[in-house]
Amino acid sequence: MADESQASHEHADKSHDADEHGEHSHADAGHDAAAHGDDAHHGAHDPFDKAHLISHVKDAEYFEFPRALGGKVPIPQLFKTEEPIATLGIGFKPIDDRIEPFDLKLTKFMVLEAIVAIVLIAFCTIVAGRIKRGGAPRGRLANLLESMVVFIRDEIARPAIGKHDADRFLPYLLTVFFFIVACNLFGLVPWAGSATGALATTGALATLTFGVVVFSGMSKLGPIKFWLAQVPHMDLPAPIAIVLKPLIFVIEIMGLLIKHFILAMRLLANMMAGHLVLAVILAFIAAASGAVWYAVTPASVAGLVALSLLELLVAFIQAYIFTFLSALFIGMAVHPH
Amino acid sequence: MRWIRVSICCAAACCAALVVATPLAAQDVGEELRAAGEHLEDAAHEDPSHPDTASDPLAFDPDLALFSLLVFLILLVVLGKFAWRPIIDALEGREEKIANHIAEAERNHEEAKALLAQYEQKLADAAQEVRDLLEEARRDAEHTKASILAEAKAGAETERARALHEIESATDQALKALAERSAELAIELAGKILQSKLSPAEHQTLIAEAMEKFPKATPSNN
Repeated sequence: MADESQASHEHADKSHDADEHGEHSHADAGHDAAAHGDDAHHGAHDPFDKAHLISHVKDAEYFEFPRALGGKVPIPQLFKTEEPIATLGIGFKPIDDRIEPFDLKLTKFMVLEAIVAIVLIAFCTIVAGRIKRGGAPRGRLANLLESMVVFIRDEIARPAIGKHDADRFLPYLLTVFFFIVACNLFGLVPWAGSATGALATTGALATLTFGVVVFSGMSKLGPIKFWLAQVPHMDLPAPIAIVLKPLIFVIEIMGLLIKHFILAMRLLANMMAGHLVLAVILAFIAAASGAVWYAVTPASVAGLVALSLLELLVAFIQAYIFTFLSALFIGMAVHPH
Repeated sequence: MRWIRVSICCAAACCAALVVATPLAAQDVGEELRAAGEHLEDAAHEDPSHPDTASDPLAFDPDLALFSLLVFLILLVVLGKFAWRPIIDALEGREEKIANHIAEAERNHEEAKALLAQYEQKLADAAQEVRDLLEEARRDAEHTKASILAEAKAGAETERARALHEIESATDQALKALAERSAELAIELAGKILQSKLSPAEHQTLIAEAMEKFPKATPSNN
């Protein structure tokens, strides 16, 4: 599919959603529903349409602003190939159907991740310079960063991995934590989005953690001993052990993979679900008409504020959980049983 | 507090802006609705060979995955080198410094305590010494006083004895002189009475006799 047709398809796909823009620009849609109440309702789209709600949370090839600020702004596709470079799959249709073509497209989440990276690098290196100068910690930013770094070191890395090995993995854990926190927080910025709400992002992070776990375990215990250590030590008579141990080994390896897959799913589900709930509450405004609109709108806005605050909490909690579990898995690999 | 006020003001401003913006946006959305109806058919004719992942929350985009990996690795390298390492080192340096300061303070405290004990001991010794000195001085003074008194007493005694002796001898002499004189006077008187019946020789005998009687009545001299 050519760039042009893809873009126009996108546009068509999106713009036929009647309340799309209204929902995105919050109360706009609500008032619209009140003013053109019937239009909205008997138009092509139900405000609670699943595909439509999800499309607001999902990655896209455009940024969407209220129309007054420019509406949909497509991201320039500098590298996108006309034909997919590769279509990935594992031969299992329900999974293959979910894998998008690999065609070097640029998406909203990529832009946001790049912004996250720039913000993090700027913020952390500047504050690091200030902390490096020594003396008492001074200033809000230095204290903020320092308390988080100390928390991750003393409450996550050292208890989970052990004081001796923890410091080696500290840069990885710190980067994971701050990257996820920053991505999550961008989900609360109007018209931006949370890159951690895509399986690709969380999957990449979980794969990296898996890589770190396997690599650290193998370099600590030796490549063969690491895999053997996956089977817990059991006092079994030889005949039973021969049958049971390979079975347990298979189960443990599957457990190892599933653990990391869940790591990705947990973060994805939390971030996506939070934003979906916000979208649904906004859709209430779009769905309301007539006098009800005046009752629903304040309630929805109040609910949105409350849930956004909850999202703020979830942003930190999920980053903490991801980091903590990564540290635990590394600890388990480095110190088996 | 300032942040809370600022955020409340922001929230209020946002609400106000939304209320103002809604009627304007309503027009817009109305048009959009009509356009949407037109595009509905187009959307239905999408390529069916390619599964639509737009509404799938579990859709996996390899581009995004690769990009995320890349961004993360860049972050890991850059932050690890320019942020985490310096911060961790600085924190460890500071922790070590604080631990050293505490250890040093404890050491100083112990030292001070030892010094204090030492000085208190010295002070106590000095006080003891002063007490001893005073005691000794008093004893010396007492002794001196006693000896001076004894000396004075002895001096006074000898002086008195000497004075007594002198008085005694003076009394003797005086008595002797008095006796001689009274004897002479008596003799003279007797002579006159006897009208020179006595010759000088007899006179002398008489005196001698009288004198012999005299000294026996007086204490002998030294």
